[in-house]
Amino acid sequence: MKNIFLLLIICLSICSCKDKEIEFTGDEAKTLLVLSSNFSTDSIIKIHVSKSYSVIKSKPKNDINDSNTTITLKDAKGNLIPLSYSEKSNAFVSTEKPKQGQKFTIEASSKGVDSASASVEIPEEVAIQNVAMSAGSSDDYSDRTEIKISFIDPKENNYYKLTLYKKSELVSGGYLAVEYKSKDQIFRSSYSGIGNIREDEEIKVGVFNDEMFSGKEKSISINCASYDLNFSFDKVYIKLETISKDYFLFLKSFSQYLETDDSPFTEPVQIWSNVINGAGIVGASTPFIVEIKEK
Amino acid sequence: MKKFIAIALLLLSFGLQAQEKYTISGIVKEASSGEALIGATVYDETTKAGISTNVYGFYSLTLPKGKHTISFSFVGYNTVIKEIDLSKDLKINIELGGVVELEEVVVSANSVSKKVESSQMSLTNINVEKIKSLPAFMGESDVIKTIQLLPGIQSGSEGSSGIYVRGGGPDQNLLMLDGVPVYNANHLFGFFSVFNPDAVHYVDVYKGGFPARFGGRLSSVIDIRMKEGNMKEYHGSVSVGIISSKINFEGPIIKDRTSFNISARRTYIDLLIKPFQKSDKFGYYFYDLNAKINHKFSDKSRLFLSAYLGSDKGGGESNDKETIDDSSRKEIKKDKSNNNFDWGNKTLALRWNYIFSPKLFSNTTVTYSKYDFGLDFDSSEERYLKYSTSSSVDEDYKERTKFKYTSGIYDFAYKFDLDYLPNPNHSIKIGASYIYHSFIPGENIISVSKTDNLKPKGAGNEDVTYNYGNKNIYAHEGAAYIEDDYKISESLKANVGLHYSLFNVQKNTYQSFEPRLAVRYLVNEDLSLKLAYSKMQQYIHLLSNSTISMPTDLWLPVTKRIKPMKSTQYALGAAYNLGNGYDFTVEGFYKEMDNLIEYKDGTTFFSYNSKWEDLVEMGKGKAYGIELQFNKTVGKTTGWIGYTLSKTDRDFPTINYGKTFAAKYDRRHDVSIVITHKPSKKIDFGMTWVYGTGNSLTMSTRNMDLYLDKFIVNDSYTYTDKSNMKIPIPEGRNNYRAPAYHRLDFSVNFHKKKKYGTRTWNISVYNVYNRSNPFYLHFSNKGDHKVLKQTSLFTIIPSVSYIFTF
Repeated sequence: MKNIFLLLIICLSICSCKDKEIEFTGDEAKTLLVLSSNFSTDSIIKIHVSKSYSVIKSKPKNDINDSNTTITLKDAKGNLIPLSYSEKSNAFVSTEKPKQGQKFTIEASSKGVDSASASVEIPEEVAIQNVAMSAGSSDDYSDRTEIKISFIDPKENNYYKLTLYKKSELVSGGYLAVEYKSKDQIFRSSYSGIGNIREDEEIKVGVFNDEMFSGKEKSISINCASYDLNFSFDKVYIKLETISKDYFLFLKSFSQYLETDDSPFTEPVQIWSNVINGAGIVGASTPFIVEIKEK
Repeated sequence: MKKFIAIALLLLSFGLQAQEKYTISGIVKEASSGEALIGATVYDETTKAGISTNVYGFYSLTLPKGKHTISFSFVGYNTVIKEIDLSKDLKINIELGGVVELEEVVVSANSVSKKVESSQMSLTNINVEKIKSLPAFMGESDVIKTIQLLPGIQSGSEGSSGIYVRGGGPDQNLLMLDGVPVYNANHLFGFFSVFNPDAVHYVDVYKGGFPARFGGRLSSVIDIRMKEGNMKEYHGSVSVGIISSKINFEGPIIKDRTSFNISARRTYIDLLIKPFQKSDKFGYYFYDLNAKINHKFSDKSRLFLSAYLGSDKGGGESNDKETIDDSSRKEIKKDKSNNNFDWGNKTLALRWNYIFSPKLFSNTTVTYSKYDFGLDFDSSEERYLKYSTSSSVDEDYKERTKFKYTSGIYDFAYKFDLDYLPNPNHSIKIGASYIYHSFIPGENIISVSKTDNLKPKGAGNEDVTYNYGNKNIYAHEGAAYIEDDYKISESLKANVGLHYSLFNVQKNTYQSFEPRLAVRYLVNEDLSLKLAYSKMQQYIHLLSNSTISMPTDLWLPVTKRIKPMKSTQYALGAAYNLGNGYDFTVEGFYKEMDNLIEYKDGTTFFSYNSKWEDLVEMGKGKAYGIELQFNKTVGKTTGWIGYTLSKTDRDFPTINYGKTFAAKYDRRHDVSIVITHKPSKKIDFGMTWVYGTGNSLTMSTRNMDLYLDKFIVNDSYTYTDKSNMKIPIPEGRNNYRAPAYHRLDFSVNFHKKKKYGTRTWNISVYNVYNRSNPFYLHFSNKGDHKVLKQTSLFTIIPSVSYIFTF
């Protein structure tokens, strides 16, 4: 239908419609410091710092390095956590892993740009209480396996990320996401109205909040193609992460952005950022991983 | 109801003087056609009391017993003066004629003095002749495009007929054709409006200071009345343009008793391209038909029946046939598809005017309005395979899929209005209305039928029909109003009123009391100061997020969650008569709007479903500005210069991180220069120049690299992806300004008297200096970097049309 209308408009204006290059006034926008990091309890802290650049220019060589950039990481008591620049990671790294409940503040400054800062609190772990697998219904392409997990949601507002993945030496990088489907309404939450997933849509990363089950035990049923759970060669894991609110909003909006970026009829998505006076995202997560085993 | 009216009239009559008085009343008509003259002035030179005729030409003037000199005047017509000795109620019907053959061309029905005198502000009356004399896009004169030239009113995107009044959205305008709401006033995605100027009698545009009789929309009322038809002679016109032809015919059915007017228009793009099409065909056209019959039972009773029927239709069909014929088999494949879409409005209004007494005029209206959109898709596939050897089984396969989508809105309405004119100091209007709305938010029917001789019945040989979509919604809307245009003293006049409305939908009821006030202070006979206050409430929303008007745009009622839109508008201004046909008006306005809806980030109208409420967000809006208009209404050269300085923004809790953002059509500066020049009866020229600050749009100006190590989203990025990704920095909704819009249009009309009428050649040039105005901005690759590009729809477009009037 959309195409018919577009075709009609094109037909009408074909004789006079024209494209021309115009001045881009957005170049006047100042350069921002960009921070990107996810503070996860299962890995050391790694903070990437870069600079924004004009959308019309090709990416400049990143001039962020140890000599021209200052970055400080403090805990809630104001104690400095040492960071060093790693060329290999192209990031400032610490030797420590963050712990649940810890709060951090990052402040970054670099020559020629305004200083930027962000704060983050590491969420508490939520353990998967139970994992049950059963044969599911078949769809057009394959047999499905039903996986049911349960956990107890703490009373305060919580945000989650649910992934299913394989660890396999046959795969480059060692990990491969397993797509799943779910009819659970948590994936279709009206919260902020962005990044919702249809019932028939394959999910790689399910992001949801606890507005429908706050403080209660929650069971989630997901199903995936049975051939994805080929235990002969791979180990399959289910991972439930509690994530910070900012990270949740970032993931929802970023997912929505990727889905709608090329649609001319869609209001552009504003990707969430918690970096003050800069850009990017500093998120936090606490994972709980369970290996799924064949019965 | 009768009791209510009687009590109200009684109350309002208190305080009237007990002095012996009589009333003169009647209808003021145009002499040559017998059509009512709206807004004609009836003035008593003796007592300095005066009144204007209403929309049916009715007037009533109650004066003390004795001798009076009454003048009947209307701009452009010879004034009629009657000397009367008033000793009883008199009925005087007046016909004004002899269009003033001065050098000036009469272009506005609003006399200068009337602008100064009236308590109404933010009102513009547009004369239909003015609309026709201005340059027209592709030769099609357009009512809405002329309205867009007024200060405070902005067009949407290039060529569009959408209007944005004082910071309001396109759904906040009440467009009425003979009192019937028109829900989608656009042909061809808004490039043309549905109002054919040949059928239009007059146009009133209210931007603020709304009298209590109007309600239901926040930002404007556009009251368009169709021609009644000439009561005395047959007249008509035929027009042939580059994209459409029009015909108009009017005259008496029974002289001075019954008349008709009929106008029709059709485009012929489809007919012109038809000869060039082969197996694949595509066509599009629109048409509209306006008809009105007007019957006078007596001087007291008159009936009008008016109808509008308009539609846009388009579609295409394709036929493919492939035959393979070799030694082993003969295979025939046929694919056929047929797509059709159409949308349009139908309106019907039956109106009865009855004059109860010289002071009491009534109007009863029953209306029907329908807007619907339909889409049909029908495709079939056939495969016939015959093998030359008997060992193989021949195949005969047929599949047919049909899809049908419909949406729309239907209204039945009843309205009763009374005009009560107890004395020259009061003009009281009372009325009530009821509307039954039926909303059809989108119904889909899909049917599939398959036959395959190789499969048993039930295994592919079946007919299946699916029916899904949103349920129809029915709503009741009621309203009542009372207003009094009260002349408090020689210098002070006020229009005071109250509008009450009630809306019931799906067990939810909303109501609203909306006070209205307009005050005029006459500093001297050439200068008046005015202020106005109005509160409005709107119970229906338009779901659309496109920059052009799409037929799929859906009207939906308020729900338990989506509340009625509200606005409060304050206006302050002055009208100054400069003399010699020049006048100047200045108006400042401040408007607050609540419960506006906007699409959330990433949502689109193609995704609406039963949970359409989830796609939108409710918020607030604010608009303020100043409008200046300098008019010249008489002389060989007439026109106006309009300038608007304004700001419009929106505030939504979850959009733009809750920060205030500019509305899409926030336009800081808006200028229009409209000039017509008529050096002689044989030729006239028209010119318009418009300038507007560029529209605001959402566009990132900077990118950033995010290192997505473990930043997993529901996309093609797998768990192992550790590379950085370039994404735009969020910079807020409507953060970027498109380049300014400006355009010059020019037209010339050559008139020549012929034996049976007058022929006119119209030559119009749209966008004379070939300005590329922005319609759509996008980035494009150029070498190792990107450039910003602007797509423009219409460059210079000359057109010619031929008109013959008789």
